[in-house]
Amino acid sequence: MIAPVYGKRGQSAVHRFDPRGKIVLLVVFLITFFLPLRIEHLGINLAVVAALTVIFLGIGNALRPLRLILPILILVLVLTPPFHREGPVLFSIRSVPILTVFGLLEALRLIVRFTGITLIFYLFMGTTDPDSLALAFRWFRLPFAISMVLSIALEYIPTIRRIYNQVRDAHRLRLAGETGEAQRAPRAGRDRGKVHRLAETIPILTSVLILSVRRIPTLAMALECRGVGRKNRRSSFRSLKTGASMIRDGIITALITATVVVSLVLFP
Amino acid sequence: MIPKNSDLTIENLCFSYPEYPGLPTRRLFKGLDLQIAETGIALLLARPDQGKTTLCRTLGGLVPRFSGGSVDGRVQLGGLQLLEHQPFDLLEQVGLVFQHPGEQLFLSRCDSEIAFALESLGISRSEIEARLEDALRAMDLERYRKESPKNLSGGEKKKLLVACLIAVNPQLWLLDETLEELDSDTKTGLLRLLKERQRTTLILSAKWHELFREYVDQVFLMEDGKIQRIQETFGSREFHDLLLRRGFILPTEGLRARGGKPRSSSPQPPSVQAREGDPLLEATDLFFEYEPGGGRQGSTFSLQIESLKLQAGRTLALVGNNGSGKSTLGRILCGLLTPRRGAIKIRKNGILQAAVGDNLNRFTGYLFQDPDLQIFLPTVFEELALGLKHLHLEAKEISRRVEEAISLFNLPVTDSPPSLMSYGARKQLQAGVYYLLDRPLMIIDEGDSGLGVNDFAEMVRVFQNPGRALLFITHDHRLAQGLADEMLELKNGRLL
Repeated sequence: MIAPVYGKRGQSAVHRFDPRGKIVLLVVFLITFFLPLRIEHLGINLAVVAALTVIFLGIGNALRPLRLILPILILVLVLTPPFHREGPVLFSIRSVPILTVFGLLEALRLIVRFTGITLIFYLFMGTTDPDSLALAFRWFRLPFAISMVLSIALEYIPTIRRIYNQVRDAHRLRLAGETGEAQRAPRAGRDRGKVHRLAETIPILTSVLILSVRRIPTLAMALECRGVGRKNRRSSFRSLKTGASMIRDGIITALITATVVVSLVLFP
Repeated sequence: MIPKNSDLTIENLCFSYPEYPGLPTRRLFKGLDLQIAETGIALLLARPDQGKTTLCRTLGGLVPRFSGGSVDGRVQLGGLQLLEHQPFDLLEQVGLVFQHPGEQLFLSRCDSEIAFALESLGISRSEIEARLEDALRAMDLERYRKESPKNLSGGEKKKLLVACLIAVNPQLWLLDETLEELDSDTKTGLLRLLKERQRTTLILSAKWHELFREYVDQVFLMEDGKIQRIQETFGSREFHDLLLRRGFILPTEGLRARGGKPRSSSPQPPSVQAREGDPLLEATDLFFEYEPGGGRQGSTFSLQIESLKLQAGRTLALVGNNGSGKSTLGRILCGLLTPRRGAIKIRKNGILQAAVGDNLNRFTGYLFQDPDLQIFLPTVFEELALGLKHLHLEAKEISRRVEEAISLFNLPVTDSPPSLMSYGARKQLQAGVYYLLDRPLMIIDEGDSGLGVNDFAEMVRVFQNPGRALLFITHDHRLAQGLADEMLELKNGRLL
């Protein structure tokens, strides 16, 4: 399941929420982050999404995706302002503006958008197993092939994570002698060890890439062996919720969507 | 399209691999002929690299569709020409279990995996439910119904794939080394089920299991691109000698009684200082369990080992049913998993010292069940030389040791690409890599899967050394008795 990648497989209300509703809400919130809104409005959107993530998944789980994207956020913060030098200057070197109010706002806007999109995917997709997601896509009349591709792509994220862990373990065992020497060395040696460990990530990632690419034809074989490609109509063993819970989740989805739309109209 | 009967006839089947830069075109099958009567169970014995997987995939419509190369000849199931159809159109006719089970599972729940092919056939939900229950029960997988297949052990994954076949119940079952990595109860259960279901079955194996005697109707040998029927009567001396000669069974006296010196020439690592019989590793009061939802079997599995000693010069075999915790114990002993409780001591400078994490990584070599997770470089030479380069050895010494490993493990030439080698050859390469790492303790996790018994026995022999210890995990009790000084059995995470 995708859930254990980001958080633990859980039983929170958002885990139990109808996947069709989650897809609708995902699209609605994504639109709010892509619209050319003022930074305050984007900030409020982010605060709402962050609050929902903390409430339903807990602070520890909410921080996990943020840790992953932190290096990108830092890069955005550092590299965006020099390309937007309009407005009052906050910092300059020899009369060359390096940081302006506009540049800073632009960097913040990008950071808020990127963080919001990450959290919203994490909140809605990270709490849904790919099979349910595929069923929801099919409910929206998406062709089976497309929903299957989306579902497999999502399932591939934990698969790659798992491959990464196993390859990392393999490298750890294989190159253990050298790591050990670095660890026994004094502080300077330890620092070199850290740099070395960072450098060691590259062959691990390369190995993961090779293994992942090598899996593509075998995955295609596995799919065809189980009937993907047949012309007949597929049946479905699992089904999405019906009855009271579907109606309840549908109403909640509609209410949240309406609230977002009204807020966009009232506070553009 | 369903044929009237399910006799399998292979006539003059030829296959050549596609051309790869730097590699000559290899003709794998040179006119294979094989006939299996309807409902018959046939066993095809072949050493690694003889084309078992390619044959299975050809019959299943996957070769040359996915592999390239050229296929000629005739393959007929009843009246149906299999080579003229796509794999998805053969769903009800041909069912295939891959040798490497992880490659065939792609969904997030076991029940979804089993139901998937039935959904492809458009079968009604109630019928799917009934077949699903039947398949789960037959393979004793009911408790894993909602578990992610990725959390299952290697053997359990194979059981799940067999359950997928049980649900579809195709006319021809192709089992590519499926019996490897299965515990003996499951092996027996599977063979009995095949007999009861009366489906035409082709089992491919690099090993002879005594169980075959009771359940198999025909035995074939595939060698040098040809197939020959080899058995007339199972009990004959001639048949036994042939299995022995071709390396499908181990000599009755096993390996220890041969009295041969270990084939490895590497000296003992100086930091260990152990004589034969000295303890190399001691584990006491180990307790481990996976975090709920974060590992195999969720919170239901725990491993508890009161005491385990590994001595220099000794070979231990660890046996146990699928999911009993064998690989988990292996990963703890090499420091990849940390037990919640207990201590592990390793021999260093002549005395036993407490060890965790990196210390254990340096002390123990661990051959994963899946070789592909441990080999990733473009050529055999680069793969073998990687660890040696990190030891800052001179190029000449690296070449000498690589050549030694190539010879000991019967590996192909140094510039061969591992990704094009057979599963068994990749296992040998994996062993070569760890042989060169020169660890005082070696753990081989189901290394016999995909290898003939002689190949595995040779591998064990290479790792045996008076100053080192070897622990190998297997489901083959006969192999364990033949190769190890002592056999340990694990059941539900406890040593018996």
